[in-house]
Amino acid sequence: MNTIEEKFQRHKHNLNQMKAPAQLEDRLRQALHRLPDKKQKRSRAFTWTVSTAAALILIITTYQYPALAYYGGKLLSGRDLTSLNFTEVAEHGYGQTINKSKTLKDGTVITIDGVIADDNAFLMYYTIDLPEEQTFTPGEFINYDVYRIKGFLTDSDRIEGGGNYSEDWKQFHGMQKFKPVSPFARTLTAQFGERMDNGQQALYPISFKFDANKAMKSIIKEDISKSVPVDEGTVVYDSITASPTATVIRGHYEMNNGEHPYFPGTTKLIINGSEVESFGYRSDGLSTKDKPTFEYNYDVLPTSHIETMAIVMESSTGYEKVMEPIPLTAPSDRSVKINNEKLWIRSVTKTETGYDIVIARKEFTILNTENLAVQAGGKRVPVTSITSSRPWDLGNGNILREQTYSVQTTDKPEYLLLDGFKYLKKYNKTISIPVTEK
Amino acid sequence: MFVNRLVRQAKKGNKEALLQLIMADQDAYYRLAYSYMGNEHDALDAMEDMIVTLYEKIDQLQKGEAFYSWSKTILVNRCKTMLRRKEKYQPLEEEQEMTLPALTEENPYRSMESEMDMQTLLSHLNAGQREAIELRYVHDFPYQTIADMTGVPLGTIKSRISQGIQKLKNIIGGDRYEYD
Repeated sequence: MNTIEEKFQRHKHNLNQMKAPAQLEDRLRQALHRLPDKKQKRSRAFTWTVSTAAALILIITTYQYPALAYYGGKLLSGRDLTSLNFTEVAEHGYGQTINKSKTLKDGTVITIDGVIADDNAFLMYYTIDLPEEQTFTPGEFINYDVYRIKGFLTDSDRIEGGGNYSEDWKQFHGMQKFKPVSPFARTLTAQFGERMDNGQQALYPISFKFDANKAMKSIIKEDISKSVPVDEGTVVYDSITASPTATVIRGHYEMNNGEHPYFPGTTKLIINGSEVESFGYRSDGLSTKDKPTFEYNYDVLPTSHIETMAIVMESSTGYEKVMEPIPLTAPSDRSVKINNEKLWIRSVTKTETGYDIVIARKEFTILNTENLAVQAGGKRVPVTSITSSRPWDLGNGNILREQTYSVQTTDKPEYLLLDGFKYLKKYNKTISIPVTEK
Repeated sequence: MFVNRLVRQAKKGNKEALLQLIMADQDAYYRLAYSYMGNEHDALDAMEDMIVTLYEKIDQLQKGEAFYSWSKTILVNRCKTMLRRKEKYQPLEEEQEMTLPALTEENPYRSMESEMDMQTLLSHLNAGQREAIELRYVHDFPYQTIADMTGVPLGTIKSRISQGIQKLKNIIGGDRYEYD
């Protein structure tokens, strides 16, 4: 075993022993579950979101934007802000005009048209003009990227963005949303990048004067400070900020294990009796008190005239202890009731080394596998391996997830010894927030 | 084709189809994430990040067949972003004698003799060479895919790999000597 090629072969062989952990599938499914479902294709807008688990150091400031309150007419929705270009949003009285350009080597011109700043975000509208005779191909705009805004007390990561091609495909109008910038910043620099044919990125910083007086005032910005007890901890809603670009509920978790809960679940925002569309959940690491934090994002409020406001924790993480052993002697496709949830002990089959037990569960019911065991021949026998889950389609619109649990014993398993399970629990807890308009 | 059909469904927003695509090659994704992150916890985080990005960006994928190299590229980028955030990882420069935190205490295979050997060997390479060589010889990616994944020109990838291999051969004394 001495040539380098052979060494690599052996190294690869070793690495290939490594299997993805059993919880991988659940983790990925939950990550997807937390994302809002895709809407039907919008006619003229591309959108994309940069996923970010960024633990950004937020600048704590009690500074209030000096205002330019725009509450004249109807507020533009989050979707309007993405699909309109800057001229169109400016007609509604939004933002600060910038008009600053940079010409790239090949003649492409990037222009920052304008920006909108508020407590929740910093929106930058830009245009990419291709040189004469050139047109965009679909998807090509992603070669041009703007991913960071820097300035005094400001280092804002992007959150999401979108844009449209012009009808002749010679222009791309983009909007990029960033974390908010400091009201004390006077000059901001946007980091544009162009992905070259050789795969490398050329950087083009564009600086411009920022006028905090053109920033937009929040409709609502208030502390909530309400705790909702959940199984194994507490969810604390800290604040709500409804600004012209977004509505965000921020909070933190106080779980017994100090971590994020297994299921973030869904929390609705109800304004004047109607639900505000959810734009997703984001969990950004630890707060200053070392507590895991979260953000629920919603559309811009439909009106600045707020009569009632409520948060509804529809579901969140749940945990049930299981005290009774679960009989394995009569497997069937009928469910067994475990506390308020159901399990399906589908089969118990003898194998060469022991027994395979197939157990199905609902998608968001997760068995504790740490001390999972069976009782066989009067003895406790640990479960030694668990397969990834696979779907079990009941054919009536319900799809369950099933897994095979293997034990090494010559005795037929009599009971499953399960100490508990996590599940997505309905709480339907409503918190009314007193309205104090700014 | 199976992959194309799932990609089409995933583009329509079918989350389960996207998950199936990943799960069909789960071990390879996991090993790739693990070799960058060096522990299970971070590898799983990186994969979570990856699937979120895939779901949001799948509209931009033009050819269904390219799904696997595209998604693994995104995974590698997520890993590097996370590592940068942890300041464990420096931008790849030819001169920098940085090593990827590929295998750490938490790696169950570290204690194996051949693995120790391999880590010692790889530590002689610079980060760029090491990354290219691991992607080529351990994860079996074609040169072009490695170039796309790392955003480094194809020629540079080829020379990093050949220079790296040459360096390793010099260290272990070429092909011919037998030590044991």
